[in-house]
Amino acid sequence: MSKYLASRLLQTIPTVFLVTVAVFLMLHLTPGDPAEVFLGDKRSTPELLEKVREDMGLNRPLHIQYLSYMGAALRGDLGRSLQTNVPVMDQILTRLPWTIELAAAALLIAACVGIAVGVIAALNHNTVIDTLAMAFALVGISMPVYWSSLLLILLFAVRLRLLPAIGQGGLERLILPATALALVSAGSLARMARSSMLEVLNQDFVLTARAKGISERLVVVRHVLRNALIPVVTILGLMLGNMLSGAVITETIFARLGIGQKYVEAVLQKDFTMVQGTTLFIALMYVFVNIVVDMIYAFVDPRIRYV
Amino acid sequence: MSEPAALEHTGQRQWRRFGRRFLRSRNVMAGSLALLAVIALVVLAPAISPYEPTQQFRRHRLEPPSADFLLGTDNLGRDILTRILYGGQVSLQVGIVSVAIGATLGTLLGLLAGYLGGWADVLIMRFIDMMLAFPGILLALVIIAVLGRNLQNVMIAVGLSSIPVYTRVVRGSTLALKQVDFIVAAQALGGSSARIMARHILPNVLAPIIVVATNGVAGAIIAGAALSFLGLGQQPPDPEWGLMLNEGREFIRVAAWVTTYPGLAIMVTVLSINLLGDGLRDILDPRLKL
Repeated sequence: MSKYLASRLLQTIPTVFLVTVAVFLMLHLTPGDPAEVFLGDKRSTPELLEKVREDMGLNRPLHIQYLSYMGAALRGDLGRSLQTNVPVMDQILTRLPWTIELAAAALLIAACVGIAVGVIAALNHNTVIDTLAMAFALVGISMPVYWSSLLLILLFAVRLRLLPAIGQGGLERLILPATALALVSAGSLARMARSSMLEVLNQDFVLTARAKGISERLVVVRHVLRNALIPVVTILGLMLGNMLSGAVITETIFARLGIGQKYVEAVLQKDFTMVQGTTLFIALMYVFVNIVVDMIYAFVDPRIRYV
Repeated sequence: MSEPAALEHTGQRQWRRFGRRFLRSRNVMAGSLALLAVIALVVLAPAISPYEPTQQFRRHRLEPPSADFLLGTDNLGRDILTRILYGGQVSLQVGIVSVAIGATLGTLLGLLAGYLGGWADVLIMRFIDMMLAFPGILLALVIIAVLGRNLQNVMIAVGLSSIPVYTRVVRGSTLALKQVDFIVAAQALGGSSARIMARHILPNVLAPIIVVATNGVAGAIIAGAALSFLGLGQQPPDPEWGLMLNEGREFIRVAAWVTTYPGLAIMVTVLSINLLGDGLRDILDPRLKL
């Protein structure tokens, strides 16, 4: 187990290194001078521009700039926003909880609905129920999150006046964005749960369990579900990626002040330091979550460790 | 050399079998018919609609669907149906061009990584791992942030960010193929790496590429419209489905049709492409899980 963990961690090092280099270079590949963006409409004389460049360290060689950027990043300093001059890290940390709340709620809904639909479809293979469940999954996958968000607002906020359309805080403001965000993932989870269940249902040990004469219910709960859901649960880790990228859109529509909404704002305003810092933060968080998921997987399913 | 003739024979047989299954699959038929209808409507937009997509009827702002304006008008008095038809040209173009970019580059990288192995494999796959660290639309957003926002960059961004899927699928299939006798034979006959990859491996990994690319068009349409929705792609006043959704958003309380119909257009298009993709997967490669 520890050997597997060590090799998994070792594999991550080049990825993390490349991610940091790519994110660092972003700022330098971008057309336009960060110093000019920082000065904005203020009258920028060549002398002033030069001074800002010097202050921002833009005159030093690239590898020195990279090292000092990473050195600062390791201490939690991602620079200051070009627009507001607020430290990027502060912005990320104040907004992160809202995004985590949204992603966690969406993940929960997607897991419950998706797995339930998939399992029910598999247990009723080739019946009307199966067809309906898979139609639901296909529609879920084909619904762009911005459209399902707007439809939910239209139905529950405008027509029925049951839930508030925008804002954050409290369960009633979480339900709509989380449901919209969950829909796509619920669709693909349902498909995966179904095919995984069907695969396991056809295996010999299930036949053995049935031959022993135990009830079908027990066969499913004890033998099939356990084996079929392991791969599905691992996918949940990858789903987090969907959630983060979907949050960019749902947060914008539902006016939730999360990281995703800030990210779009930063791209639109050409706030490069903000984009850079947020990108780095999200990418590293995502890499880290995937490691944790792999570890859980290896812990739950011993076969993985020996591959 | 009688070998090519024999190959051609099995090739023809395979195509015939594919054709039969294609016609028999309900998913494929439903999906491709719906998609053909969408393409026909969108391409024939100038013939179908009496209006221009940016033509404003100042006296008819936010009008509900009527005989004159079948799907109603938006806040500037523009005909929504017309804008949906013309906007579809953009969305379909984004879908196709970005998949072409992603599939070509991704396949090339996958072939090189899988066939050459060694350092090429390590370098390419670490690069792919790096790209995968930016989940979903985030990679496209980063690329747009660097390149600047317009429709052309949307296609580049969505295309580039889809590279990893193709590389992984093609690499996996190539690795498996490398062990197969006819590839080993081609190597023994002294075929160059480039020739073997192009003539022998590529045709045999085409099936999974087609499946992934079909569903990829649906994904690219969704992602492209998402970027325009966020204000990073198509700029007003030109129509595009995502942009129309965003423009109609603030009038959702008084004029829901401004947002519901463009969204419906995206969903019908994406649904038909996904149906086609699912059917193709069942026919071409039942084991491929997506």
